[in-house]
Amino acid sequence: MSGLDKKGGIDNTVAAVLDLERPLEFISEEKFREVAKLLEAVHEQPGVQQILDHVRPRLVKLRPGRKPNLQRLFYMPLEDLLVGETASPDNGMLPRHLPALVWRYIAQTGDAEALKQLDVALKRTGTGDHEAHRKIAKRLWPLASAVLVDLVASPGHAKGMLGREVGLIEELNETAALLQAADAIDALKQELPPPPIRSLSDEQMGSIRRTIVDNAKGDADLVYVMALIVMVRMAKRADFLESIMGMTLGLSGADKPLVYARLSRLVMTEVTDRARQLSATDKGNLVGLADNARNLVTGLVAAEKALKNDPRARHQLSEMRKTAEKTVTQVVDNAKGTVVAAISVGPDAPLESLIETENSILALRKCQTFAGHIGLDKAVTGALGGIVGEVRDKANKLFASIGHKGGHQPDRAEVEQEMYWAVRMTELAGNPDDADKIRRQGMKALA
Amino acid sequence: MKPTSLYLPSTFEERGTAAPFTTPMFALSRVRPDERQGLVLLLPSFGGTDGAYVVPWSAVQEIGGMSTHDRALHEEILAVKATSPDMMRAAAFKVAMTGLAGPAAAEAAKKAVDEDRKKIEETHILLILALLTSSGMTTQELMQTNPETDEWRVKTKAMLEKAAKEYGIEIDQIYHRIGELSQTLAPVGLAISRQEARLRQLLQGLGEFRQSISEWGEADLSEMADFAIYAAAVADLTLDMAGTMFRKLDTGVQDIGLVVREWPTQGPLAKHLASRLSWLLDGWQFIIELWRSLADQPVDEQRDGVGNLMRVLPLIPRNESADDDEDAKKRQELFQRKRLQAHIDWRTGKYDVELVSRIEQIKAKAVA
Repeated sequence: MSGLDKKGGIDNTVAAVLDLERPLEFISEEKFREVAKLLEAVHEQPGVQQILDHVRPRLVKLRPGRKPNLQRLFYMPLEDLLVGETASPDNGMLPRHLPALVWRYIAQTGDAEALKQLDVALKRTGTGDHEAHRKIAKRLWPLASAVLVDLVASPGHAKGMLGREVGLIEELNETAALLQAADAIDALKQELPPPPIRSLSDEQMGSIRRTIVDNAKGDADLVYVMALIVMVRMAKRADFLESIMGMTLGLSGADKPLVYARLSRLVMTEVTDRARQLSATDKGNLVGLADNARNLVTGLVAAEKALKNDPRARHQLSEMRKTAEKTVTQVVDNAKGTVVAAISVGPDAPLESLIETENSILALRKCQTFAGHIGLDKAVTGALGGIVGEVRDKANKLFASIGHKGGHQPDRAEVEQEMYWAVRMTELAGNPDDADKIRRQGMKALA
Repeated sequence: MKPTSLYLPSTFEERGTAAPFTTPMFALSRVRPDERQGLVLLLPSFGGTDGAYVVPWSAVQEIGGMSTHDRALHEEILAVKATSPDMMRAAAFKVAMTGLAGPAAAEAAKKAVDEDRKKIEETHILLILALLTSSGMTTQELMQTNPETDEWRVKTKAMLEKAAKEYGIEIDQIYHRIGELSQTLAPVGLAISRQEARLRQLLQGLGEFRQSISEWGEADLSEMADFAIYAAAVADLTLDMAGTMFRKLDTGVQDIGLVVREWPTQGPLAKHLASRLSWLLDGWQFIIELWRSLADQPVDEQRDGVGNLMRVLPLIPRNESADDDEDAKKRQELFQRKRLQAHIDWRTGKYDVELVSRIEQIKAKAVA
């Protein structure tokens, strides 16, 4: 097949994928695996990377048996940091197309014979033989690292290689450091639980420290990339940043704050994303607002602790704190208003209203878990206490009407319905013990 | 006696019936009768090990902060001695309809009760038509008549009288037997009439669960992957057994005339098979909905979810399966190798309104 034919065939494959009647996310698993294999085979063609990025969540989930290649082995130390963005994220994460560009450069300028030998060795391994792949990767990384060290040593040369992507020069330097530390990164990944990591034991933290100290030998760039690789796997990154930077990592007094500042950019990005998520939440969705406000506030508290010595970060965090306070105040006011109106109607309200009332109380309860961090604990507790009090009053009047001699006796089924509604409201806004007291009191009154 | 896991129950009755409590710690605990205590609760282990705690019924409310729904359900279960899946279903609906598990669960319970009643009525009609067909009578005319009219009742009675004479029994006996059989078969569905019903539909959900959790287990990198694959294997075994039971039951009630005629032997057999199916699938609907609720959640929550559902996975009792004890052995090995880390929030005795609310939503969907 001529090159032109081959290209035509590839174009047809891409066109066929793009023309699929149903989006790739929704085709059957069997078909998806087939399409994924085809795309993998032509992954260097224009447009294919975007398709792969688009279906990545499903690709990761179904993991079609992917044929190993040297490029994929080259990606191994970087894979935790890859993101779909095109511009510099400026926080240590790497746009996915950068390693592709770097790999092309390595393939063109690296030791062709050595790369060929590795390729032949790799082709002899089975698709699932990860141990054999790792062994070949460990031979590939030093080769790639040598090419990259030479490249970044000459900024003009490096910018020339990046061409239109010159804005990614810092990420290129980081990629070079990641390849230099590839063996240590691989060891760290082997030792750590899969992401997201909720917490690390003292022993695990000690082991991370030793790996960084032994392999970085005081090199700030290497310390940075190794700490970054662990931090990006953590569920609570700010907490990890604080712990790891409290340790001696073999850094000089001058380098330590610089590494800390570089790592903190990722923490700031995360908190900023959470603030953005909160701002984008539908204002009528009180539960969603409470969830996202909690997410932001917990992130803020951790970030403020970790970045207490960074005035610029402190200022940014303080602004975000104001946003959180404002949103939670609105949630409290709206929820209170909804519930107070609902109390006057009682259990006869339509189903949607009953659900909305419960969601309003749930939003308040969610806010209660973090309101203390933003000085709104009294407002939230007051709102919940007010609801419990009003419901209690209503229940007392109901029970009194049952025992009232001579007057109109309310319908038993209606009383039960009112009673259970009061129990439910009290449980949601208060606690099950107080709620159960109302239930028992009601049952006694009805007996 | 077969070699068995120390903790695996012998029979469905010993496994107990799943109680749809909404407090995380008690969610899908099982209830069974006990000679000394009357009732006991089998509380899934929260220490990350195999097995369950046996709690006397009177002590249940003391061991953790129960929601008011659970307190009411606890009382109702004792009042009606709900020790079978069908009785538990009725008790759970009665309590859910009060609204103590939220308006969505109340609405779902009301709808389910209504659906159950309609399904019995529908099965009743289908059984009458099947019986008449079995007696060689044509039901064409009946099919064109509204079953809620007197005309239908009169015509049916005349035809059933004819059938009763042929069988040598009283017409009242026919009505009685059809009545009982419709109660028995309503949750299962009548295959000869291609009638879908709750338990038969559950198999589809169970098949999807098996597929989904098995794929998740193969893709996940954490130690929960093995537990997920084990859960898929239990679902697989349950599906196999359910398939066999459905085939037996469908064959057994293929000729309704024969079942009604030979009621003393055929009636109990049909009841036994339908009851076994009910026991076999008891608890799965909640697990299927629990897993569905995690589909869009972050991976760490899905891992917690696998831990939670492992605690309440409806294992096949030793004496109920004709298979060897591979299932039991696998479980034993799994728990010996790995300590199951169920999410701490699900094990605490503290009342957590957010977790309870999540379980209430699952509960509402599980009966929808």
